[in-house]
Amino acid sequence: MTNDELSQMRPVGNKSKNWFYRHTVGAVKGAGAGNTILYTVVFVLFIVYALVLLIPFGWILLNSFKDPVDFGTDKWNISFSAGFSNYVEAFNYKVRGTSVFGMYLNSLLVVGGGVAVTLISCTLASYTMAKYKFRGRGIIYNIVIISMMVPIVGTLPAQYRLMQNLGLVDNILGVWFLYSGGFGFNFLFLYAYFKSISWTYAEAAQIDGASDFRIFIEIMVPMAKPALTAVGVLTFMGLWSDYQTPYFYLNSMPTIALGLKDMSDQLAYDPNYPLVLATAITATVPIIIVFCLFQKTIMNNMTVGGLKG
Amino acid sequence: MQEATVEETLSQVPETEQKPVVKKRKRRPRKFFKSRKFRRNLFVISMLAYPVLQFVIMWAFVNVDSIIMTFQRYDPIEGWRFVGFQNYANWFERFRLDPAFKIMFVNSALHSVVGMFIIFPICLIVSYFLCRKIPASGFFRVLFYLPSIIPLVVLALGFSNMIKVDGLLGKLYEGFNAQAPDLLVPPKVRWTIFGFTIWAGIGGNLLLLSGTIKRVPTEVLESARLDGVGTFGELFKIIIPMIWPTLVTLFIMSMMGIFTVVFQPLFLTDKLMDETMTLGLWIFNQATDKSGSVQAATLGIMTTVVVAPIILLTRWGLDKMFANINY
Repeated sequence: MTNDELSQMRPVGNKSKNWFYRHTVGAVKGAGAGNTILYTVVFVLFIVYALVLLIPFGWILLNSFKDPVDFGTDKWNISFSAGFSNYVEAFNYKVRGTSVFGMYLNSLLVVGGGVAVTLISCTLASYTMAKYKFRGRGIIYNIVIISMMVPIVGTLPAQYRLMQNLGLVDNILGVWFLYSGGFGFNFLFLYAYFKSISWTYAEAAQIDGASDFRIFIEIMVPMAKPALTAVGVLTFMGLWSDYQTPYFYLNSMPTIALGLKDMSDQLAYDPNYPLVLATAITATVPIIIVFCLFQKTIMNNMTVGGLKG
Repeated sequence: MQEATVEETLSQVPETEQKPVVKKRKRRPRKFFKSRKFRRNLFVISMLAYPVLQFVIMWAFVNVDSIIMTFQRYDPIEGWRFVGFQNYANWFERFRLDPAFKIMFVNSALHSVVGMFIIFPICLIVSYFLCRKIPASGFFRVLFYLPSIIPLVVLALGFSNMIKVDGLLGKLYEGFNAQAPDLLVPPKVRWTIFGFTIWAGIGGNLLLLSGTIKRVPTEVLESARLDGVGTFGELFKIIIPMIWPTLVTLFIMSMMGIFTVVFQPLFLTDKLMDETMTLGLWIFNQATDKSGSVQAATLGIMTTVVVAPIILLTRWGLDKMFANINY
């Protein structure tokens, strides 16, 4: 007799009256009597890890509202002594000659352009590779897979030398060029997605005289919109937090990830440290909002597309 | 009025206007340019031109140039010049004489081990339980994934302030009338960084793994449950074999942790220390310095030569473990 059957036979008794049980492990479908302890343990562990994750961010948030004196006196008391003044001051604080507000604009420009070029390049490559048979297709695909599987390290110096020779250092075009790779995990994800779209729509359009380009723009791209949204959001979040590329190639136009580190170094031993914390909050909020807004789209498309290596 | 014959009409028309009729036979090239095959090839070429060009420049050229760099040296007067295998010889000498580089390799290898055997399995188990619709699974999924999207600087800021002597850890120790240890100085800092990578890394593959686990047909799981398969039986005997290709890919990515741990030590401690140095961080630190960049490129290539076969062999072995199931 299975655990499920055993649990069904058991009288409801105390369990039905126990609010915690009914709303926690009791809510798990298929959690038989034998699994009750396991699910309780897992649930408790999840709560513990959630707290371990939340406490540091709660601390940052809490202290971002304190004035320097209050912060210096006690880092753990609840106080809003500075109100939103740290946030206002942080927006005007300058790093590398750029205010935090300016860094936001830089980030939006760099990341916005980066997402656009990544999406365009990946879509072009993945759609063509997924839907068209041509000479050399297998070779390109295999090289792409090998490039992802064989880690070649130490290319950063050569990359920097190339960018210097091309005059793309400290140039936003250079950063966009770096971001515009059409092959990578985004490619694999979109490739799988385009493969799953039926070609019959294209055939019907071809009979009506539509060109390949028109089929791509007017039929396939709209059909792949959920996957493109997922890739776009994930790319946005990745680029927003990117430190390395702006560090090397966009020194005079610091993004928020780069500026925050500089600011943190500058104010590490300064009583005005809550400014750094306020900036950290403002740097984090946009991506959390974007993620919360699109998390269902991302999840659903990860579910549909999956990843097969 | 009598209608003119075709010949008469043509003779009255100026020469230039007659051309299309006269040259009708020579239309073959135009037909070729208008053919479906040509247009399709043109479409494929125009679609792939930019992505392939970018790949050739930023991957193929950069890698080849990186190898060339390992045989060069930068001289402020002479510029770049070839020095044969001198850079490789220098590295062998460094490994022999300088223990700091040994520590660097051990740290990188340990990060890889932590990624493969701690972070990755925990992430898989967490993803599985989240798919079993544990209460508040949606909340947990979002929360556990957050460290993957939040800038590393912010994560390091939060984490370091928790473990500082005057942080949360210090408060806890105070409760027991004890002095908290400083976890951000050697020798403890080395293990603190591993703790940080685990703390921040558990949710890394959460979305991908959850998505993949959800793709496993529910009929398969339901019939297994009817046959008395328990939670761990379901995970190890059904789900893992069914999502094996994804697991292999993600495991290999974790293995590459030997190269990808770059900023964790720098952001957490705000300085470069021998005890926390990793391969990635050392290369990052040398990249813009012309003479240092040669050493960084050489170190990278030497590591690749050693590690790439191990990774490919592991992948080959893992691929053999379970048959690829299509569903």
